[in-house]
Amino acid sequence: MKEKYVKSYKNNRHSLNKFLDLSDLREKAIEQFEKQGFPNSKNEKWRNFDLKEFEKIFFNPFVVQNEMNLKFFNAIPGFEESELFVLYNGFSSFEMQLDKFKNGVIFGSLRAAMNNYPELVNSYCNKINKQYLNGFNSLNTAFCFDGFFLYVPDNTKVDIPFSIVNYYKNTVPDMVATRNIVVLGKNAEVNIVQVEMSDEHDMQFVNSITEVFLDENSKLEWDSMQKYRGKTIAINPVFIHQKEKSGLYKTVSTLRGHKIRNDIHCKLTGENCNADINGLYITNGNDLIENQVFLDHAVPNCDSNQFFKGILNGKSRGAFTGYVLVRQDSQKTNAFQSNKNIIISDDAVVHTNPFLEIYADDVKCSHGASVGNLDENALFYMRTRGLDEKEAKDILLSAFALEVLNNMKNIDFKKIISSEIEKTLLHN
Amino acid sequence: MADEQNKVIKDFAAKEYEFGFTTDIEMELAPKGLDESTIKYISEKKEEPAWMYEYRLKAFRHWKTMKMPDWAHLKIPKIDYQDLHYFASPKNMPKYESLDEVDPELLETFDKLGIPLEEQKRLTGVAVDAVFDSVSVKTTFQETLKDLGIIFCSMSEAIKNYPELVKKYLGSVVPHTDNYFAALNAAVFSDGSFCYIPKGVRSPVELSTYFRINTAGTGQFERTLIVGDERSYVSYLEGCTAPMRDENQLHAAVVEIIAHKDAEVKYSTVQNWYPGDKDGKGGIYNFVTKRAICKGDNSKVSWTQMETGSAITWKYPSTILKGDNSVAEFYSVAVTNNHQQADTGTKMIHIGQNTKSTIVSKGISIGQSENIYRGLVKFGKNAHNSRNHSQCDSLLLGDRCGAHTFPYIDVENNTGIVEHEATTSKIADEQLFYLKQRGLNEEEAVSLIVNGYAKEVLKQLPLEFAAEATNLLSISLEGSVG
Repeated sequence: MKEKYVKSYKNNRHSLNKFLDLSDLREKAIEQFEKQGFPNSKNEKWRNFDLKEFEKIFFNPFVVQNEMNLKFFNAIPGFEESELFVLYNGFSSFEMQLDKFKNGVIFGSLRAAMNNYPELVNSYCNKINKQYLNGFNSLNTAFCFDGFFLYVPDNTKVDIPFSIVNYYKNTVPDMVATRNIVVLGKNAEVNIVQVEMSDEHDMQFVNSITEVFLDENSKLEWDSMQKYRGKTIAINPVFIHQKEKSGLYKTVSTLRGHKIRNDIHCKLTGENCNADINGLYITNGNDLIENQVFLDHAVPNCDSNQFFKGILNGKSRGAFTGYVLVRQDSQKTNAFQSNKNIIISDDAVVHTNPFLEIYADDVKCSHGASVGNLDENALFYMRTRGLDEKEAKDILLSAFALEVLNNMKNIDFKKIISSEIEKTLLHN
Repeated sequence: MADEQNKVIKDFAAKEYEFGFTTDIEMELAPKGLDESTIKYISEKKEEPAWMYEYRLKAFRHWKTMKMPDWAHLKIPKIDYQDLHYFASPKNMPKYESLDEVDPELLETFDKLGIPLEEQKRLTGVAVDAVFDSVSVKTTFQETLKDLGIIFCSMSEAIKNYPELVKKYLGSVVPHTDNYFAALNAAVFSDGSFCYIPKGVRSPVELSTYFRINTAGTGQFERTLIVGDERSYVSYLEGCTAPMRDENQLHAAVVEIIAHKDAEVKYSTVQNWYPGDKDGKGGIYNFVTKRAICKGDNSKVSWTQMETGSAITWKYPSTILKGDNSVAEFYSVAVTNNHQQADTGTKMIHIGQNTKSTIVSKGISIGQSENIYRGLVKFGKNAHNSRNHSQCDSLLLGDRCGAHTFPYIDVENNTGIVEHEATTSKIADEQLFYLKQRGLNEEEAVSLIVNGYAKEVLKQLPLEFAAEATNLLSISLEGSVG
């Protein structure tokens, strides 16, 4: 199967760079992919993720665009007060949409940004350490064509949130390779709201890479909701570089998905950083949702916090791997990790791996993981108060799930996600 | 205070290995290298029956198809398996009837280790089956045990005298196909202990084995098999030391434990093999497969280990909880110093209903060492109402060492409860300050805190061992306690 992608690349190598010019990055990436191939389940990082589709199905990297159906906007209210950018099957829905605001903020299509501000974009594109890139990532670099780009200059605070909608709807097995870049200058502050969703459709492979750069004392709040219907396989790694005193506040809620993999790779390179990463996964049917967080404490005096929760039903599988690396001399690090899971059905499976790798002595690191069912005493108490079993369960489950959203600052979006979570739980 | 602390750590790091002495006893060595003729040599030397030779050969052929695993968080220099002696035994080994007949020099070795056979026999009532490089030299208390029907002998004797039992259980928990080192062990194992407790018998004494690696360039491959039949109870102790050698010595043992219905097996080990010098030169490679199965309902297996030695330790004493209502425990203290590396932990595989397991792991890293806890807790689909609680704490003394925790938790049903907690920290300045304020000096304070930290595990050790383990821990910290 590997050869098919390589061949497909070789046949189209010139048109790709005409579309989005990455100069020789694509060539290097395809060479790398030829060497690596797709990861397999023998690879420690992919042991819980089922990769058998990639042996059988060729996901065409050249997406066939069909007409966009704008009806779905009605399904997600709450974007009236924000700057909205929509990617439809990975393409900017309005041809080359790119806005430059008075305060210098640039927001819109990566492709358009590359045309208009090539130097700026190139200085932030593909800055990921090679050792962390797998075959999927190389394939993304070789074939990516668009994505979102957000640039917030130094000393700029933006009040209204930037909203990004990724919407996927296809009828043939396609690979959608999107590339996203978020850059915050010194003292910049911004809130991103992201909705990733797909329609009922056949097998589709969403292969994205997002790179985030947080300069000194900047602050990024980034809340996303994922609701992939149909047979979507989504591999969404996010690579974050944090400089001194910067803050990351990220919440990912995955409410549905056939095979979803969210990797968050966060490197703290300046002192006094804060990384706060929260996640929720609700699975049902044959879903497989996996979150992996890699937190690299490369310098002293940083704090990180990972808080993930899962509710599993049907024959679904949920997996969490939290990896905290505290490098030598990264003293006074505080790193916390928590993963709690509730299994509702007898056929669901949870894998949880809270890892710590620590090379500095003056640190406070802890992790906790638990797997279980609803607390029977709590259920009993609620029933003595006159609630029937289902009501009591619903209340307990939604209370369990909504705790993940506690730190969200964007109240409007919090309301939307909360109601979506409750709906999903009721439906399940 | 920082300076003082550094001094404490430096002193401790400079601590030399206490048990580094070599006993000059003439050894009979197998030629270096490993091929089918080595297997034949070992089997013939040990006068084994044909089925045992076949078993070894099968394992060896399988081993040849395998590759050494590399997933552990360890830096292992390349091991040349052809450059080792696979068998060493003191020449002209007689069968001893009493301790008087034993080579005095050999007895002295045990004396230096602090485990004189006589002393143990007389004062503590512990039956010791001492393994000295590969062949069992003395089995004490045989008679007392015989009356109860308890079989406690060396593996070679068991193969000769109880072939049916050995055939039935050998390789039933750790098959030769299990992993690289299990295959190697099955092919070339030299000796070890065999222990069978018949139905309804409670062993009145604690059974104990001491292992010691003596000859340079030999690998030690023991094979231990403990079977607790229905309603039986046994507590088994194992201790290990090895003399100081510059070359690294390979140790790849296999321990199998079978607990039938209502049986209880308690396995305790103190391992203080030569860890190499302060520059990381020499030391033992300890790559051991230890696994127990709670085969019958209501059975119980308990592992307690104190790991202070070996240059590289790579082992996960595990339990398969197959019987309903079975219980497994794992208590571990692992101390690493200088350039030692330890990748250790446990696996709890829950298969039966209402099974319960507890994991308590305490890691202490000093100097430039690496201390890793790696554990798996798995609840199978039918392990309803099962329960696990894991606690893994790491203590760092010094800023050049590493302490890592890699737990794997896989749950496949909705009635089980798993909880895992872990913390990593150094000794808090407040605690030290408090103790110093009460009149303790820095070194005493460190020792007190470390002992308290490990107490939860140490108290699980049988009395004689607990004293030795506490001593070992104090010795480990002696440089700092003054």
